[in-house]
Amino acid sequence: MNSPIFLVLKRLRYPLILLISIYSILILGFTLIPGQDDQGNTWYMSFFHAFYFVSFMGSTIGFGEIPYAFNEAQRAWAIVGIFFSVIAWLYSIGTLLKILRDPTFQKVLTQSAFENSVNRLNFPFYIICGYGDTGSVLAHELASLDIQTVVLDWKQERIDYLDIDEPDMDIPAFCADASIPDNLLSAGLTHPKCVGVISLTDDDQTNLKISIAVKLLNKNVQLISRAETMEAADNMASFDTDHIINPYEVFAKRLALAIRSPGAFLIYDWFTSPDSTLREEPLDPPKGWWVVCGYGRFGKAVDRYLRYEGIRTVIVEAFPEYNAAPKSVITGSGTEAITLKDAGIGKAVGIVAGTDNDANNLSIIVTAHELKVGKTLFSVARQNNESNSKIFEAADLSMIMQPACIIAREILALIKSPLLAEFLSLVRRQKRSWVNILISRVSGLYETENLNTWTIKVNDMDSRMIREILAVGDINVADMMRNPRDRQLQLNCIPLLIKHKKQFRLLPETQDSLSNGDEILFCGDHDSMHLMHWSMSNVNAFQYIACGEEYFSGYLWKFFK
Amino acid sequence: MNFEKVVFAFFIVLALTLNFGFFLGDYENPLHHNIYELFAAIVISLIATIIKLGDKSHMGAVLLATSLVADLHLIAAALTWGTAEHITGTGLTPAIMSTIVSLSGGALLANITSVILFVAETIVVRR
Repeated sequence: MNSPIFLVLKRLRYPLILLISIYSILILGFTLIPGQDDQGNTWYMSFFHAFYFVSFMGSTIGFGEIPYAFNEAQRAWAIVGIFFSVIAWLYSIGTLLKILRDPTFQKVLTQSAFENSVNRLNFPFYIICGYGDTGSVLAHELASLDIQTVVLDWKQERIDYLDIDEPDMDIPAFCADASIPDNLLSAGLTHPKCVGVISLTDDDQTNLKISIAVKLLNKNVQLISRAETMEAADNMASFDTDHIINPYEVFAKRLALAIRSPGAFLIYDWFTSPDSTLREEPLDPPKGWWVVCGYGRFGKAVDRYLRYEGIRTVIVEAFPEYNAAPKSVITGSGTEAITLKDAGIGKAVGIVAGTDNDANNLSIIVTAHELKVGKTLFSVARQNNESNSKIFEAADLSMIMQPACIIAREILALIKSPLLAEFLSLVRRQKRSWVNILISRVSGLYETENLNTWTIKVNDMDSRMIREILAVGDINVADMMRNPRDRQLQLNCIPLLIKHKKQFRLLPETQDSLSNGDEILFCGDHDSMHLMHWSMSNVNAFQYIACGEEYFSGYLWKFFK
Repeated sequence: MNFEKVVFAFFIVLALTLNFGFFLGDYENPLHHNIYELFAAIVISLIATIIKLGDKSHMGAVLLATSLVADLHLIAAALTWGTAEHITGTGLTPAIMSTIVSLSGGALLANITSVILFVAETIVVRR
C-alpha cells in the first residue's frame, strides 16, 4: 500500500465519499420526483436518465432537460443539485491538486521513479556519490565512453544542474545523503550490474562512511574514494578500499616526476589526459630555489615531494601556527610583493601558489611575474573552482593544479584500462634513456590524433575455435597486431605491457607468445583499437589473423566440405 | 466508544444487508427485486470500499479486495439492467432478471466474506 497511487486514494477518501453521497441523493431524488412527458402523462425518470442528467450537471456541461422538459418540482431539485454537485467536484479536484503538490508526496514520487530507473539498468554501472566539479567531469567523461553511471548528491541544485547539462546518456540522479546506507541501496548498490562506487564528496568523513557502507553491503564492487587527509586515507586503506585518491599527493608526485624525469611525466600526461595531443616540448621544471605559498594540505604535499627531489623550498603562509608550518616560514599571504621579496623571489626559479582561494593564487602569480620580469619563473597554481578555468588559462602558468580534473583522470585511467596504472608505475622507475626510446616510438606512430590505450584479454572461454587455436599454441603479439582486413599489414599500435599469471613484462617483443588468460595493454590510434577489438571478438577475423585462412563455420558449408 | 469503528462496521454491515435484501426472492420475477434497493446497495458498497482504503495491514488489503469484488458485481448488475431497459430495448425479460439476481448473488458472497473477516478481526482484538 505504499505506492503513490494508494497514497493519493487514501487522502482522497472524504472527498470521494462526499461526491458519491451527493450524486446518489440527487439521482434518487430525480427518480422519485414525478415529471410529465410531452402528452402530459405522469412520468418518472429511470435511474439511467437520472444518472445521465446528474452526470452532465455535475461536470458543468449541461446539455438540457432530457427527454422531456422538466416541471417545476424537477427544476427545484435541479437547482439544489447544481450547487451541491459542483461544490463537491471542486472540493475533490482541489484536494487532489493539493496532494499532488505536497512536497513529501513529490519526494515519494521522485524516489520511486529513481529506484525504478535504477532497477531497469541493464548494463554495468558505477554509482557516483557527490556531483561537484569532480563528479560532473567524471560523469561526462564516462558517458562519452558509453559507461553508465548513477549519481547521488545531497544538494538539489547540483542534481538540477545535471538535468540541464546532461550528457547524451540518461543518468539516473537523486538528491539524497549518500552516507545513509538506504540511499546507496536505492541507487543500486546491491544491483547485479553495479560494478563500482566512486565516492567524491568534499568531506572526508562522508567519504569514509560511504566506503564502510559499501564494503559491508557489497564486497564485490570496486570502491574508489577521494581522501584529502592522510588520516582518512589510512583509515580507508585499513578496510581494503580498492583505490584511494588524494589529489594533492597525486599532483605533488607528478610535479616531482616532472622534475626528476620529464620524459616519464610526458608519458604519464599522454596516457591519462582524456583529450591529449602530443606535446612537442616536455615540461622542464628547474631545480633550485622554490617559493611555496600556502601550507595547507596541498602546500605540505608539494613541499615534501620537492624536498625529496633535492629542491630547496621557502614557505609562505598566512597562518603558520594553524597549519603547523616550520620555523623558517615567512608569514604572509604571498599576494604582496614585500612578502615574496622576503621569501627570496629574486633567486627563485619556481613558485607554487597553493592556497585554497583562487583569487589569492592568481594574485600571487601575477605579483611574482612582475617581480621577475625578464627572467623565467616556473609557476604552478592551484585552481579550486572549475568556473575559473578561463582566467587561469590566461595567466601564463607552467602547470595548473585542478583537483577535480586530477581525480577524474586518475579514476578514468583506473576504469578504462586497469593495466594502465601498473604500466605507469613501472615507467616511473625506468631510466631516462628507456623513457626517451618509448617517447620516440609513440610519437613515431602518428602526429596529431588522440592517443588511445586499451587492454586485450586473451581469454575467450566461450569460443571453441579460439580455444582450439590457442591449444595448438602459436599466437604471438605480432599476430594480434595484424590488420584483420589484410594480415600482411600491421595495425598502428604498440604493445606496452603484458600481464602473464600476475607477472608483468614491459614493452614486449612482437615474437613473444601469448597464452590463455594473458592481458596485454596496447596504445595506438582509434582505428587500430576498433579493428583489434573486432578481431578479438569475431571468430572468423581471429582465425584469419591467427592462421591466415578464412573459415566458414555455417552448418551449410560444413555439409559441403 | 470509537466513532470511527462504529462507522466502519455500520457501512460494512449495511452493504451486506442491502445486498441480501435485493437478492432475496424469485430470481425471475422483477416484482421481488426493487431497483431502489439495488441503487442503495451500490452506493453503500462504494462508500464502504472507500472507507477501507488506506489500511496497510494484510487484513485491510483483503477487505478492500472483497469490497472491490462486490462493487464490480453490483455495477455489472446495474449495467445489465440499464442496457436491457434503455439501450437494447429488450426490456426486463426473465432471463435478464435472473442475470441481474445472479450477479447480485455473487456480490453477496463477497460481502459475506468481508463481514466474516471483519468479525474474525473483531473477535481476535476483543479477546
